[in-house]
Amino acid sequence: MSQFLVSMERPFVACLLLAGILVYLGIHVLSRKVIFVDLALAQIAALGSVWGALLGWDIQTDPWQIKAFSLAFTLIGAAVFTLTRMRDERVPHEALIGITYAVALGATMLASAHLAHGAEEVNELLAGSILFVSWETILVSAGLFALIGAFHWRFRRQFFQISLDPGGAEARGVSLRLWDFLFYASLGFAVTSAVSIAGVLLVFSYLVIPAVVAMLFADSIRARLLIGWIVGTLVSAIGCSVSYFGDLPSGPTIVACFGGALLVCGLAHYAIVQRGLVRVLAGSALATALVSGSFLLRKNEAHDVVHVLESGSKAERVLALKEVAADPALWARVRPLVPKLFDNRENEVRADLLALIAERRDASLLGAVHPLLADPDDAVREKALRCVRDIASKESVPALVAAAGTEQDDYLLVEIGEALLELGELAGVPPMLSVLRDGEAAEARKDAWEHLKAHLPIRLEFHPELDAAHNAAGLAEIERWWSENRARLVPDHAGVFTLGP
Amino acid sequence: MNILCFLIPVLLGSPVPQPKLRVVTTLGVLASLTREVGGERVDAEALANPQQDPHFVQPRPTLMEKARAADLFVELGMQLELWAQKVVEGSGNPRIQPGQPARVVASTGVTALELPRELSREWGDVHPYGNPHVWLDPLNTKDMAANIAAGLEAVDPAHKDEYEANLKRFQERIDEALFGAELVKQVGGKMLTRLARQGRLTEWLAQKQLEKSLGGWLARAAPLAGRPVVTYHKSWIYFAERFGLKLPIEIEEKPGIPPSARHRDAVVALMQAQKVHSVLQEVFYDEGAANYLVAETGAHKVSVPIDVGAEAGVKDYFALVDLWIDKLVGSETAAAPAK
Repeated sequence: MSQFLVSMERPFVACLLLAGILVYLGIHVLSRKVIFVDLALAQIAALGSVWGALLGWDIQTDPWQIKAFSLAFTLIGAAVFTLTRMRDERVPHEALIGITYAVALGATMLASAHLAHGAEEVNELLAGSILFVSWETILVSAGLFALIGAFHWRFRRQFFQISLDPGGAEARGVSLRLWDFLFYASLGFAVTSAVSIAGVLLVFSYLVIPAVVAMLFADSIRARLLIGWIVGTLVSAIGCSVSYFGDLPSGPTIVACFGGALLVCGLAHYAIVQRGLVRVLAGSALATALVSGSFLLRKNEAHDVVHVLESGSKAERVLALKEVAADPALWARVRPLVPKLFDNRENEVRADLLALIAERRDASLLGAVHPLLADPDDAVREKALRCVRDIASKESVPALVAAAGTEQDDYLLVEIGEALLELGELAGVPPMLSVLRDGEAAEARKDAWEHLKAHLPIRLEFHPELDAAHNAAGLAEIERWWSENRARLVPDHAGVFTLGP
Repeated sequence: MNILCFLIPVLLGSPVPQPKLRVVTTLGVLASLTREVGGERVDAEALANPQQDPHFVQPRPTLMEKARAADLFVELGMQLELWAQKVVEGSGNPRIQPGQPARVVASTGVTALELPRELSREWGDVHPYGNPHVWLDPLNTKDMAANIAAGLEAVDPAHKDEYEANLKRFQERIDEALFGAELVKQVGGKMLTRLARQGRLTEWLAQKQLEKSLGGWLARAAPLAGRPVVTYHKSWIYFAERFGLKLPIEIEEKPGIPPSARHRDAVVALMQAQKVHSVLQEVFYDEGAANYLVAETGAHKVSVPIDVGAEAGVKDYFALVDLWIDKLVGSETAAAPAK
């Protein structure tokens, strides 16, 4: 619990700040029927910061210059909304606000197309990051909100008059244009600052939903404010808790909680004021039934390993093979598919299959493994070689001899030789000798020499770290030994040869 | 006028320069690899702005225009650039449609990491073909360059030998840059590649007493081995696999979804418990979360591009890897987190 308090302290305080200023402004916004003006102002502010970035200022290193650009744009936006509020409403104000939003969003996208952080700027505006808010940001915003609040308190008469009764206010000599501009400018400042904390989605919810709930239940400004603040605070607390204990992203969770709160309040209002309790209960029951019924439509995810191996994606095939590894009973059904799976050229699938074949010592599949000894991919050849060595069947000898004829990689050549020697086949010696003679890498020559000494009773001097030119004498010696003694060499069960009679 | 332009050089007897192959790639990295393989024969241009997130590029008319004129189109694949197909479709260029020889999927044959863990599609759809950031492991660029070379040979068979030779040289340069020229000479690039891919390189070098011969990026990145690093997006697993970093946790819980409070706290707790020095992220991600973590734990923020051309000095792939290693090693060897 204390962990919860520490963890959600800053986001919750930030939520309370938002509720404090936005619920109040929301009542104005609803009365003026300019619901989406906050989105439009926030978008204009974003356009301002992107414009600043286009002029060369950096969002990371010059935050204040960028901020100045976004504030200047906000003021322009406020002026636009002031001038477009027409007396006879030939064009609805809401339409102009929507247009401003769309054009500002489009312009932001255009302007950010060539910016490094452009797309992020647009995304960040939507999602916000209330979880990562710092005390510094909270304090600065609190100061700004307090200023805006004080300004509105001082001139509350004018602000409410132009919001609730613009005609009457004008008749009493209040300048509509001036106070409209001041309202939109202060709304713009508050919204821009709020959006940088919490994102457009959350700010919109704080602005509109508590005010709507308040309008359902009360008529006086005072009562509406009170109800709005209570709803805002409660939902903030519930949202932060649900987000924390449900391990969910905070912003979207709080928005969902606002939606739930509005639903509950709306139903309660209908049940109490309209006396529609029965209908509310019936409707709720129907909605619950519909939602739970939709779970019956869940996609059935039953899968068959053979089917997945045949027609799944590469990832699915790899996963299916993991299942096969865990359940030996499946192996008999998968075996016939092996040649086809090898043909698919999917290296992950091939590697897993080779490991499975090696683990099962399934000599009947050697016919499918042998072609991989000549695969273009050296990693595949290496794995096929390991598989052949693990199974250790004489059946592999012709394929190994053929592979030795084409192998270009010295280390793999050594391994082919080793595989043949382990099978008691002297055909493993020429590949080793060819590496001693022509091997480019000293390590490969060392490998070949060590293996040769381990399998053959050869007591000669050779310095694999030196290249062929410096080893000519030693090489000639070894080759003479080989041609003299090859007929007398007799293997034991582990492929170690001794000189017979 | 057009005819004159064409005729004048002919009439004057000056040789008409052979037109270069126009190669359009999605990422700057792919353009860089194409230049390595194509050399003088190609003009390679990337569509994505290297400073921006390669997952999201707005298809613009100019991009389609470039694709329309392309002789070869190179994409990474693995669903990294879902926008690429839109550009290609919009271009109306029949040669670069999927399945055509002039359409190269550079990640073909590269072993994918982080394939979905369950057959159910519930979470798997994020990256059904595995994590697509394959070029963050230098070894994978050898396969990518081979795929590009095969594409160039398909559209320009006359210069096959040249492309093959350039490819071989590039692959050798990667081996030398990664393992150091001395070790490559002693052991051979292919063997080192196989050992590194199987995670046996260190053990094998110790067994053969060759540790001292190790050079290149791997030697420079030695301070990173075993170090836990927090990243924003799950884009660094190939880099981590190659250079031995550990990636215990990402800031982003699931790709594209903001983290929850618990996850944020888990990141902070883990950073403090494991003494994490570096918060690593691509330049195009928002730095708010990283700044928060840096303020909470005293770790260092390492913000780097992941594409060629994003910064003035990053002209090719080699410079890009240099930058990653320099920045990360700088952060890991700087003073430990204060808190």
